[in-house]
Amino acid sequence: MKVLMSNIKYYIVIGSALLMTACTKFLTVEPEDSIAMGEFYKTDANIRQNTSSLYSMKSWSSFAHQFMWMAGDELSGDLYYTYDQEGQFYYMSFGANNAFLTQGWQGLYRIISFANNIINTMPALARANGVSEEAITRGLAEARCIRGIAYWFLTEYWDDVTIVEDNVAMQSEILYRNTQASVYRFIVEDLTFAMNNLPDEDTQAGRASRWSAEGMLAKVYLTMASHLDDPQSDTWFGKAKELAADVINNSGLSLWADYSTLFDIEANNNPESLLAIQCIVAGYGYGNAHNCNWSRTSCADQAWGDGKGPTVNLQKQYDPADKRRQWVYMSEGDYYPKINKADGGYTYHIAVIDEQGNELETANEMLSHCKKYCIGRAADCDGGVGDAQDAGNNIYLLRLADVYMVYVEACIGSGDATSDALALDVYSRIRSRAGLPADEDASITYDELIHERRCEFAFEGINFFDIKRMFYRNQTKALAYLNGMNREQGYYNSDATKKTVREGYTLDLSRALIIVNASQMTLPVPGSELTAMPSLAEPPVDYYNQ
Amino acid sequence: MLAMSQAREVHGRVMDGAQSGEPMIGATVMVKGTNQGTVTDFDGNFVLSVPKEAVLVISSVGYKTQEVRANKTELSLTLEEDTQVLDEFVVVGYGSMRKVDLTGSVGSIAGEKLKESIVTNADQMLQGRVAGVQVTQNTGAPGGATSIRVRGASSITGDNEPLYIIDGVPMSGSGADIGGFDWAGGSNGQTKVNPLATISPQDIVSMDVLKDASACAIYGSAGANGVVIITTRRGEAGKIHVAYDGYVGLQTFVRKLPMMDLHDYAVYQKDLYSQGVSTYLNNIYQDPDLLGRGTDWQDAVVRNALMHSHQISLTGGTQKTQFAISGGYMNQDGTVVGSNFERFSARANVDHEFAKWFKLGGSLSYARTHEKIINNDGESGILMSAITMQPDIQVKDKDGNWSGPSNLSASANYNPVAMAQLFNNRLQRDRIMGNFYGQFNFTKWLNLRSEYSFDSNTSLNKGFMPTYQFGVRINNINKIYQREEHSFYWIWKNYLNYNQTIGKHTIGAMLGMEMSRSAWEGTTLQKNNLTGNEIQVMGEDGTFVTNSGWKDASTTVSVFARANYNYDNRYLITATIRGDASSKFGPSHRWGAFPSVALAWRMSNEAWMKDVKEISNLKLRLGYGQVGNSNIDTYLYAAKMRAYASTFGTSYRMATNANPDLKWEASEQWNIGVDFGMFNSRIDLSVDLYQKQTKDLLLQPSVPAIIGGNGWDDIATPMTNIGRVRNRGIDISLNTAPVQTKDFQWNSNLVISVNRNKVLAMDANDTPIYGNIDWYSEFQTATAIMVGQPMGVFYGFVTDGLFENKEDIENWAVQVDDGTGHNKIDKNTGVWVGDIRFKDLDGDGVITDKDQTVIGDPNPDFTLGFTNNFTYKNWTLGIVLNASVGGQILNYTRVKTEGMTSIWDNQSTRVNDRVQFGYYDGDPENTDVTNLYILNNISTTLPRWNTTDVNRNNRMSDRWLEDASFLRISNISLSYNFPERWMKKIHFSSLKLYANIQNVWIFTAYSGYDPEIGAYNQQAGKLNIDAGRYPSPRVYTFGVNLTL
Repeated sequence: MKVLMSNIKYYIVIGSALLMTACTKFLTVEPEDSIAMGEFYKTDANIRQNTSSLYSMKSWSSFAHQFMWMAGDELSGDLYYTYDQEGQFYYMSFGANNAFLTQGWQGLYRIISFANNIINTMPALARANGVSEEAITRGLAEARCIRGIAYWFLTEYWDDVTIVEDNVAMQSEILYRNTQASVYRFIVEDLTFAMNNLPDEDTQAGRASRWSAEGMLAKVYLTMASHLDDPQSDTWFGKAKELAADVINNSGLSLWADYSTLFDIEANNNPESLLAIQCIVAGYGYGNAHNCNWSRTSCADQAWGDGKGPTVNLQKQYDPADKRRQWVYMSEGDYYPKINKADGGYTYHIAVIDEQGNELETANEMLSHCKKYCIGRAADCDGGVGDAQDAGNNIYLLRLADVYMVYVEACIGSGDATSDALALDVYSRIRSRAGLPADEDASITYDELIHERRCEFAFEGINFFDIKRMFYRNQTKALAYLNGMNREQGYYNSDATKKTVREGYTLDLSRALIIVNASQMTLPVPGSELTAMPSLAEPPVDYYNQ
Repeated sequence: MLAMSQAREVHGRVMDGAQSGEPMIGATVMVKGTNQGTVTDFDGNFVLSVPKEAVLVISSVGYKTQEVRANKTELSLTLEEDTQVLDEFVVVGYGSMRKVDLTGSVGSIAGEKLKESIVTNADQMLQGRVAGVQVTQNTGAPGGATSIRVRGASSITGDNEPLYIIDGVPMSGSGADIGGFDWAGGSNGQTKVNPLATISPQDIVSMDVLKDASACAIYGSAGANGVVIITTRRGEAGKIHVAYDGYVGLQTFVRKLPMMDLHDYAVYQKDLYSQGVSTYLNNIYQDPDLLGRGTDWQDAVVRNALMHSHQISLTGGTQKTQFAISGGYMNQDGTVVGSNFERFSARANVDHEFAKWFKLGGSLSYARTHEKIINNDGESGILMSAITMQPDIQVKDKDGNWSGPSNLSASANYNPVAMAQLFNNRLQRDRIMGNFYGQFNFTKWLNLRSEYSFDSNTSLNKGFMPTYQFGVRINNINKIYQREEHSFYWIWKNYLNYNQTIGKHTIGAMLGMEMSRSAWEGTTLQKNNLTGNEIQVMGEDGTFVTNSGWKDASTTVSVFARANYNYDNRYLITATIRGDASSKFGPSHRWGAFPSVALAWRMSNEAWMKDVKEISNLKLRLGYGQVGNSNIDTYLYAAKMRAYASTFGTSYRMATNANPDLKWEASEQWNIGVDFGMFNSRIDLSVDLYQKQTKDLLLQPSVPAIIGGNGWDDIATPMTNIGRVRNRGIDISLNTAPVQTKDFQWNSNLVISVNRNKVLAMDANDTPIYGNIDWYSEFQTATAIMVGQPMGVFYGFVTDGLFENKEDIENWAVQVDDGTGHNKIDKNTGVWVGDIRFKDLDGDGVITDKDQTVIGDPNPDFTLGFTNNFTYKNWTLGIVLNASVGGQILNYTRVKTEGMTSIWDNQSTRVNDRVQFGYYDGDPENTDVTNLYILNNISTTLPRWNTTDVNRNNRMSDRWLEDASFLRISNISLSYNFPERWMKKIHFSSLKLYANIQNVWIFTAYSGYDPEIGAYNQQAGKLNIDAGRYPSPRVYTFGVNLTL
């Protein structure tokens, strides 16, 4: 008893320790339905699983579902759409609180946060688990490639944007915007690293390769060079030309032969596709939403593309022989064998009226509807269209054809035309696919190039950047170009008995009242961002020399 | 005649045994076996004419009833205090307490008071009954969730619902989730359903609300939002009783919104077309005079709906064993077609004294609920669709098929009647709750109680979206959705209770520990393209679309102690301390300590107060305490990966940035109260002043999107402990018995709650947190939680009338820049006559985001509940009034019904009063801006029609705010208790019949369906936003209570 009593303090200590251990064990609950990050990076494959998030539409959707085309195609005067906030891009009347503008900004910064997370946390955790340096470096290169591209979109829409490299460390800081020049430098650093560390060909088609980064870098240099007042402009043109030529000559990649299927599922990750947002049918946010957003009701399920179409001005761009036209937009009499397959295909009519005279489908003001990226119903493409705005056709971020054109534009440089042999060659490859002859006078002018680009890339969300580069070169020219489009003109029914034929409609020119001014060439920082971080309204600072 | 002739007058005086020498005021004196009687006056005197040999029964609340033979003409007697009645017990945490000994702030409703109105869910019983408790129904849908705020909201991102303790089993007040509707496209609707829906209200015998920290602290972390202790019926020794409780009710839709009929709509459409703002005119609108009223879609989606409820219970027992068993069934159709709620419940409680030193018992309950939930609150909601549906479309065509638009281009609108019936969520919940205890009585004053409780839940949510054809609108993909969820919670409590009275000292102490574990898991699964719409089972048929799954758990360990000391029933002190640990925090921040102390002084028991005969009770209370909160997701102190499908197989990314320093949110509360009773409690007044300050709020800070976000798609910003929120207020509760005569009694209960909520601090930069309505709307910063303001204030622009003419536009601050710093004047792409002028608050000449400000507050100035019961002989009439004064509603419904941007949406008749143009030169063809002015109706606030709305007339502004004040006659009930002597003849114990009207009338200036909006999905920052809320019905019920 005495022994027991004399040792009681030990019993208490040991007893308490056991109790505390049991208690700590009881109170530690590891997640059961997901992997703790510290346990995640164990093999090379885990890094690949992590970086695959960078390509997924699920990650890009806030940017790509609406903003990408509203800004990319409505601002550029290619896409007609007048409804409410969505139509504000068409009217150039967007305000800082436009919900889609906010979405686009958020979507791009979200992709950057994913890339940052990989860049900042993956290497140490992976190294600790013995993952190979090669896999780590490649993961870093993929992340920096995507980050560079996201910043490029940001700076082309918003000019001066904040560079965020570490979302956690910067959380409690007061943030300012950074000058566009420093953003360009940052992008060049990211893409250069990516170019030097990515493989020529990834085992998984669709992932970034050396050529994706290099092609994009060429386009970035071209954009930088277009600021003709930059003393290094010529150097940047040279860089753009050199890199684009390298892709053209050494990548072994080629154009997809048939423009008509270039935007269908079968063309996913084809050799022309340098980089694309990967789309799958797996619910809302996972797939291509263009099909649903753009298709006319009779061409797809749950579609709301009735009120959208190519502007009259875009329609005027196409040569009647241009084979691309039918696959960019639908016009009276066009036949699409792969849409409504069960009924033997779809023939486009501007309006549809049944025997009783009921108007089943009304003509829109453009007497045309969008086709690019529109692939019909689930039955038309073997289940490749879901019902939650998710179609399985990828959305291009960079096509080889774009790199060709970048090469041509870099050859033109600050001048007006080029006769560079390779430029003429690649230019003719694009035209020949469109069923058009090569350039006749063996000299491609700047205006010809912009025209060709507009026809080739209409509705891919990138034509506004051509106008932006034109604006950097020459503000007056770019504004005159935009205002010369008379983009509000449309067809209005003038004879109620002739609703199904074009003759029943009159082109109303008096509505052309959209006047673009220089300040509208830069999008406003979203109002919710300024409200949350008022310092974003301050003048931008140089990221490298603060 | 004989009796009358022998009647004589008796004079008597009744004295108060509790206050010697004082007369007894208001005691009832009855002649036994008759309904003759009277009450004593202020001097305790009475005069009564009685037959010879009569026996008088003298009674008063709180005193022992006496019987005396009226054999003298002068009587003098003394009523003794009935300590058993005075020892009215109130349930507090881990035990009960004499009400008079309470030091904290506790509101109770028990017994008959619970039956004063007909409710489908127990939480509605609290409405207007307990001061400081604000109850709003978030939806009028059967089984919908309720928002309950005990002394205001303090948590910003978590919900603010109280903790419920049902017979010892804790249950969170936050609603259960359903899968919503967005999986099939469109807006999601409210996804929270009522957690209390699985409890039958008829089983409940008392509800005690612990309001202040000193009362709640014993629940530690879970008690931060107040605690509601629900006690169900237990058996009593004696005769076995069988009781039946049942009612049938008819529910009606109370108010309609004034929408255009077909004629008005055609006139409107034609006008738009002729003005050139619309480019399309349906042929049928050419001649409006040929058109009738068309379809009234509101009438089409609502109905008079039936509800009925039945409950049978069996109670009784011996001195050693008591039991109560009950079973019930309730079925309620919603007033909007397609919605329904059904509940089956059963409960058994048993208590047994095994030996003097050992008692054991338990309760077990089972409930199954089945709900049909329609899409509500949101743009795709049934009501929202019904009000905007075009009136030219029939509900069904002549062949009996569902109708729809005849033109594919109509951006509208599926048939809401068809959708409500074809497309709804079915939710089936099964809940088993149990509680078992054993109590060892070591001595008379020391016992140990060990309690094990569990709560097992299964919910199964099924949705089916069929293929359909509504006119030309065709859906040829059907979809099936299933969500299953299982949870199991257990808690094991052990506590020692000590209670002893030594002379004038009463000492109590409690020491205990508990541990709990909550585990949950679930899956969702979606398939498409089933062969037909008939077999709605998640089987082999159809194509797989997506699924998800989750599984998680959390644990807590707590130790707690409480000490009470009572000196001579005059001085009381209660002190508690509780240590809580939660698995939600990292190893170094797991434990939190939460102390409280409360003092009370029963002044009325002081010798010098005995002389003040009018005052029967006077008690002062003072309390202070801290309560914690851990209402967050699990494992936020470390990082985990999120998996999702991609082209390259499963993708992983980080889900949330971790914060290893995450710790308990703590709220610090003060309470000063006074209980005041006069004239033998004929008047009882309780007033409490409180302050509740919550700090280290657990929240995800609001960061600009450049840093991150908090959505599912984001790598969420880390949860942090920041900010401070204060609630101050006054709870007033006044119980009176203005008339107490033999045949007629009037009891009234007035409850007034005043709460002032204020955010004192946010993060280091005091960044506000904004709340949005649907991501695709412009209302992204419509509500705000910002320093210096109450939570959830409305944030937006201030309107200042309409542009009257060209000069007016030119001279106004720039709303749409033409590129030269002036207003762009253009019908489609700029500002135009008849657009709304917004105030340039910062005076910089341009309307920008900086011109937004706080434009309204959803929080009421005060709320009031006023209950009156009039009893005349066997009749009882009850009238309940509820009022909420002050506060505003954001009527988002009007953005759709008065927004005037889509020609496909039906509009409110108010749109007929929209601005009309006059033409200076008299030529309506000349639409040049210089020729325009606003015609006659300059007083209108409704702008011009415009599809593009470049001026953003529809932006978030005070245009959409309305006064939320209302006075509601919530309930009128009339019941008749059959006289006992009749009942005896047919061997009934009691029989009561009643008729009841709920939601009788509402007085309000609000233009929507119902000014009682609540919180969207119980979120603190989204109060009083009306996005097509399912309004509460008016209910006529007829019921019977029968006991054998």
